[in-house]
Parts: sequence; C-alpha cells; structure tokens
Amino acid sequence: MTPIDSTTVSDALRLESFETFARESIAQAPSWIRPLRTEQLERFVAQGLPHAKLEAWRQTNIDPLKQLALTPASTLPPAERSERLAVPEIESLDAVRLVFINGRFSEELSAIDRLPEGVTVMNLARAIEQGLPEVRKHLTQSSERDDVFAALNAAMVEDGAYIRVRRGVCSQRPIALYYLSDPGEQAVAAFPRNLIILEESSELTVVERYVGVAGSVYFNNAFTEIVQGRQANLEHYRLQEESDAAFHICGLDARLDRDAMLAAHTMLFGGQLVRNNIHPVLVGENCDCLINGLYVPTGRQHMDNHMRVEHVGTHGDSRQYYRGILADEATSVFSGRIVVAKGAQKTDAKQTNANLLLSERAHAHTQPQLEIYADDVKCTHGATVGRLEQQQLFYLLSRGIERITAEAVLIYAFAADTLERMRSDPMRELLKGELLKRLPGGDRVAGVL
Amino acid sequence: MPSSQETIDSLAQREYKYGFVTDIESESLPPGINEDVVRAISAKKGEPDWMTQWRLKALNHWLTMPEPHWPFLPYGYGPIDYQALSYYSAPKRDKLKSLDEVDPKLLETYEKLGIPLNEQMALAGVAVDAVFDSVSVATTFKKKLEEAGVIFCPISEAIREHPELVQKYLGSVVPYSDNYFATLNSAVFSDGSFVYVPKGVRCPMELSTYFRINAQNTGQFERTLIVAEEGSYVSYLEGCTAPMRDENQLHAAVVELVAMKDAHIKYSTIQNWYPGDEEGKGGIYNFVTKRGACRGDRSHISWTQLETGSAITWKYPSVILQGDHSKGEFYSVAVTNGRQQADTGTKMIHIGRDTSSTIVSKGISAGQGHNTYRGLVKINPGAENARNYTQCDSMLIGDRCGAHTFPYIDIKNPTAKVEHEASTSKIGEDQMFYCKQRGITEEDAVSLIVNGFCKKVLAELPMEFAVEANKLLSISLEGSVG
Repeated sequence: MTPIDSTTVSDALRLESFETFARESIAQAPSWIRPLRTEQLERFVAQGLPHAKLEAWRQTNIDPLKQLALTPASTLPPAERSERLAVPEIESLDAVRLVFINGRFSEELSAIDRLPEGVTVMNLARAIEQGLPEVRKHLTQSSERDDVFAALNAAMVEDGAYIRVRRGVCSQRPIALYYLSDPGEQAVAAFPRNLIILEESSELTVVERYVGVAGSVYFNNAFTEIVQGRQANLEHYRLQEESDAAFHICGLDARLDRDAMLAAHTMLFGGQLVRNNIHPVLVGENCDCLINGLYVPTGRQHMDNHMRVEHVGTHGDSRQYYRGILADEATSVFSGRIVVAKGAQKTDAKQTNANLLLSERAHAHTQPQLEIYADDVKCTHGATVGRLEQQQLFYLLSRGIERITAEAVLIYAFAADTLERMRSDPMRELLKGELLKRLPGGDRVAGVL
Repeated sequence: MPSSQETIDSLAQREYKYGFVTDIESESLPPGINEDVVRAISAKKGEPDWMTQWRLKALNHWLTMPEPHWPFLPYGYGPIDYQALSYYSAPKRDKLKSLDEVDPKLLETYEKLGIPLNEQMALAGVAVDAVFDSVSVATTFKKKLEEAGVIFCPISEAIREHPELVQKYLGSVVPYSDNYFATLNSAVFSDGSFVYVPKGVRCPMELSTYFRINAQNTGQFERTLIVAEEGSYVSYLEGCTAPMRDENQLHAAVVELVAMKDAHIKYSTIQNWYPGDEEGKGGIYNFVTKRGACRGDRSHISWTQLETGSAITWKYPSVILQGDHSKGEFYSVAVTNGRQQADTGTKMIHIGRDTSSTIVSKGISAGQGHNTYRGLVKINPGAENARNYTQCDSMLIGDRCGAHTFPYIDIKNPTAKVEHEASTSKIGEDQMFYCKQRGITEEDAVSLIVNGFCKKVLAELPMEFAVEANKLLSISLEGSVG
C-alpha cells in the first residue's frame, strides 16, 4: 500500500473519530433529515469499524484506511472545476450530465438539459434542501442493516444525484454521473449518495463514473439507492477508475416491485482498496435481476465484491456473473449470497464467479453462497479460479501469433461475456476500450476485436 | 396430496427409536471443570505425568479462549454451562477379561441397539471396541490384529502401553490449542480408540467402535488417534446412537488421522444421536474436530459420513495434503428433520505438489431442519497442479426447512484447477408421478429418489455400513414428501 503522510493537516481526523464531526454536521442539516442521519450515525457507532474477525471482512484488511487522517469533503471550499481533471465524458452516450468534484455538485460542469418530460434530475443537496416528499420517503430507507459503511454514508449524506422517473415514462436519454476526485494534498473523504426512483412502467439508463487524479490518496464512500415500481426497468452502470492509491467503498441497494427489471453492471479498475457491496431485494413477484461485473486489479490492488441477492417475491429470476482478471500481486474477494426467503417459490437464481490469475502471486478468494428457505426453487452457483488455458495458448502460438498478442486475445475473450451482457452500445464500446487499454498487448488486438 | 401431510405428521410424532436409558451405577466426578478435575481424570486412567501435564496445558489454554458462536444456526442454541457438566463417568466395574464379566445390563443395551457383540463379530468379521460412556469394556479380535502387528485398543491403554507412539502423534494433527472444543477435549478426554498400523500392513479387518452416550449430564469427550505407517491400509468405522433425555448434551470429540507415505486411511461414520423432540428440546450438540494429515507422498485419506442425528451438528472433517501426489476425499450425506440444525462440511488444505481432493456433499432438509454446507478449499502457493472437485447438492422436502451453501475457495497458486458446483432442488413432481404411476407407494418412491440422490456417497461406505445406512435414511425421511 502507498505510504500516507497527511498528519500535518489540521482538520484531518481518523475514521474512528468521525462521530463528533458527524454530529456537528447533522446539526446544520435541514431539520427533517436530522433524525434519519442520527439514526444511521448511531448504527455506525454501535457497529464500529470492521476488523478481520468479522466474517464479512475476513479477507479485507481496512487498517490502511483506518490509519488515514481524513479531511471531510464538506469542510473544503466548494470547487466548481478541477484543474487537473477533465470530465471524462462518454461522447456517444448523449447523456444528461451531472458532475461532482470531491463528492459535491458542480453546476458549472454539469448539463441538465433536454430532460424528457416526467424525469426529474437534480443534485441531492438541493433535493434535501427542498425536502421533496419522495426524498423524505425513500432516502436512507434501504440501507443494509449490517453494512457499517452504508450507515456511515447515510449519516454523512450531503450531496449526490437525485433522479426520479414518473409513471410510464421511458427516458431515451441516459443520465451520467461523473465523480471527480481531486483532493490535492489532503486525504479527502467524500460520501456521495444517489437516489434513483423509477415509478411504475418507467425506463432509464444511469451511468456512474468515478475518476481521480492519478496517485492521489482519498476515500470515496459512495452509495446508490434504487427504488423500482412495478414493471420499471433500470440499466445501471458503475465504472470505477479511481486513483490507484484511493480507497473506494461503494454500495448499491435496490428494491424491486412486481415485474421490475434491474441490470447492474460494474467495472472496477482503480483504487488500492475497493469494496463493492451489491444488494438487490426482489420484493414483488416475477422480478428480473442481472448482476454483471468485471474486476481487473493489478499491482497490489485489493478488490472485494460482496453480493447479496434477496428473493422475497415468487417467480423471481436473478443471475449474477462476476469475473476477475488478476495480475501482479493483486488480490480479490468475491462473496456472493443468494437468499431465498420463505415463500419465495419458483425462484430461479444463478450465480457464477470466475477468476483468471495472470501471475503466480495474485490471490483470489471466492465464496459463492446459498441461503434457501423455500423448497420449490432452482438455485445454482459455481466458481472457478485458474490461469490461462495452456492448450488454447499453444493453439494460437503454433499459428505464429506472438505470445503477448495471443495472451491478450485470450484474456479479452474471458471478459467478453461480461461486456456482451451490456445493452447500451456506447457503454459496451467504452468499456471494451478501457479494458484493452489496460491489458498488456491490448493495443495490438484493439483493431481486430 | 392429503396423504403426505398425514405421513409427515406421523413422522414428526415418531419416537426416537433408540431412546432409552440404561440404569447402571456410574462412577462420576462431580460437575465442573478445574485443575483438580483434570488431575482426577488423569489419575483414574493411571496416566503418566507427561499426559497429565499435556491435559493441564490444554485446560489453562482453554480457560483463556472465548467460546465461538459463528456457525449458521437459525434456531441457535442455549448457553452451555461448562461448570454444570460432569467430565467423567464410567461404568463401575473395571478389569474385564471376557464378555462374561460384562454387566448383563450393558450387554442388553447393545442387544437393543442391534449389536450382538459375539454374533456380529463372527458374522461380519468386525472387531468391535465398544465404548460405553467413556470406558472401553470389551475389545475383541485383538489376537488376530496382533498377529498382523496392528495395535487397536482404547487410547487410555495405549497411553500406558505405547507411550512413545501416543506421545509422538497425539496432538500432532489437532494441537491442544486448536479450537475451543478441541482444547476442552484435550483437557478432559475420557477415552477413545487408538489404531496403529505398521509399515506395509493391510489391516485384516474393518475396525469399528460403537460410541454411546449414557448417564445424564455427562459430556462425551472421545479421542481417536489413527496412525497408518508407510504403505499400510486401514478402514475404520464409527457408528453412534444415544438414549433419549431432556437436557442437551455436549459431544466434543477429536479424531486425528496420520497417513504416512503410500498409506491409505478410510474413516466412515454413521451418526444417529438423539436429535431432540418436535420443539427441538433435548438432543445432542455434536461439536467435533476431525482432521487427517497426509504426511507422505501418495498418501490418501477419505472421510465418509452419514449424519442423521443430533440437534446440532457442527463439524468439518478435514484433510491436510502435505505429501506430493496425496489425495483427500470427503463424501457426506447430512439429513436434518424436525428442528435439527447442521453446519458441516470439510476443509481441504493443499500444500504438496500434484495433490488432489474430491468433495461430494449431499444435504437433505425436511420438516423444519436447516442444513448448511460450509467447506474450505485452500491451495497454498507451493501446491503446484493441485486439483479439487467439489459438488454439493441440497434437497428440500417441505416448505419450512432451509438449505444453505457457504463454500470458501482460497487459491494462492495459479496452476490450481478448482471446480465448485452446487445445486438446490426438491423431489420433482414428475419423478414422483413416474414412480406412483408404476405402483410404487409414495414412501417407497421418496426413499428411492433420496437413495438415488445420495448414491455417490453411500457407495463409498463399507458393506457393513451400507445396509444400515440405507435403513437409516429411509427411517429418517419416512413420509416427508414434497
């Protein structure tokens, strides 16, 4: 891990001593949100920071994060733009654009225009200020009870995106959220939170993209809360390209009503310590949920993915596909659990995790888990860990293809399934490019594939 | 299916077949655990000083350990008062030379269990080292084993007569400080079996021990140690039944297996302890540490188990694959019915090159039972070309039970090939229809399908156990049609 020296910063404080700061910050918040934030803060305090003895944190050591002297983003003067970072706009996406710098909304860089009718988009700070009824109803309501970082995020909630699509509206324009981290000399801690509400029979694509100034140390504790009404259809992308020295802990929590469809795609590239919690609850019957992800740690990066797919309604269909490509001394964790509640009959749940180890020193931990309380269900899970198939490599080599090219082709093929599950063409193309850019020899095959 | 509800009810009300308490005067120590109790146990066994010291070391360590509570048990269990347990209980007579001297009541107990010692031995050629509560009362076929050079005796006897072997291997696989229950066992273990198979010897018969818990409020702390020297083979069978009682009983046994170069140990278990009544009251807590070490090249250890009893089963028979080309196997059928809970599985730790392991686990949940598979496959950095195949299937019968799968896969060598597959299903309506249409009764059809589901595991059991296993399975699941 990168050595950290930020003890000289005066306002800096450690994660364990966030309580006092949070209480002061809550006291200045609009009155309606104070009880919610206080409740979450109490949970954060009661649970305390995770340690290796906890089952859910057995393989992930957050000591480097605990030792970090953090500067809460809200104590910094608001920045309208970043000198060192440009907005990594996804050109062909033609999306509504919200830009955040160190977790706070930048009006200047954002472009909330040409909104389809029935779609409300604003930054969450404004929505909280206005005390919108939907925000009061849903904000912090879905946070997982035993996730301490979800509680911390909710206790510190200030800004992020608020999106609401009204009944029957199918938004053709995606909404893109760009989170830029430019912390300067201090290790900034930001707690962005997104609230996405899709009412009955609505449809939307949301993209979250996180980037940071290369080499800088900061902590992003991001959380996305999704509420989907009947037949609502959401395509969600999270592309994480933080600085390699950053700490990134994110959560995605979704509640699906009857016939709703959710596709949650995640690509993890950056961060020295990454924790990705995904927790959809299929409340209504006949829901459909796709959890699709790819993590590509290199160097000494550590990426920890925790999935919990909960089936409550009957006839639910969920599929989890997570793939990891590990190089150098990278480590990864996949812990996926399918929970089928009593009475969630006719559930069809599937979970797979595959890991490709490119180096002798890369480690993958995988724990695909089932927790089932209903008897008429179909649940399967599978996990694999291995290196490049030597026979396949030999096949390509024997045909005169250079080793580096051959390897790049095979690695790309391993990841291709993940990309193909993405419905948005611009996103798929973008992610393909981002992946190839990071593969040794990727530039040689970029034109061919 | 109205009839299935009836059969489920009748099953739920079925009395535990082996529930009776034999009235024999036991010589018990007062409840509680402290240095004096440990010294007293050691003295009663006539143990040498090194053994007493080892026990005390374990006791002192145990006192510093917190009790673990991590297993996945939806119904939980009440706190165990370790000071209320009596740590030693022995049938009052000692120094038995032949079966005639055995308390007739004791022999009667075995009759009821269907183990007529003398007949069964002759018929099956099985040497039975019967453990009644904590002291071995009869060891037979000793002569035949002696001729082959095999040592098969109560561990207390081994401590006295083969101290060099016991001292060398006891605690070498499960150290005294291993875990809370193993440490407790190390301090207070009463008796158990010791097997030593010398170099190149193929043990001439299947070895078996019957454990039985008797005398109320007595925890059973068995200790088994099996050592197979280079090129030897031994198959060990263990089967259990326990009488009915109201208070939960703790059973914290330790089993250690040591397989040297080219040796093969096959360890089979049938566990049918009292599971508690309909509300889950009473019943045995089965918290056992079982571990085998493949110490040499090409050594081979296989665990086969059929678990139908106990209120709570919490154990992970493991294999440490140290030698190159060594092999570990785990075949398990676990049935939970009523309000039984099981958190069980295995650990395969690959250390040597070209090691391989196979895990086949079949969990059956019926009634309100909860069955959890938890297994670890660990490939260490030096374990080149390690291979693991894991299959864990669950079957749910009824809609109030649960089946859970928590595998841990930990790979530190990229040449490893690890596969994990799991599935959860119920008895298919089409399968039932097919059978019933051909005139097979509902119960027979369930039994047929369940047997098919478990076939891969049951086939691993030695012949002597396979018959009993089939019987036990169908009794356990009578009438529980989905």
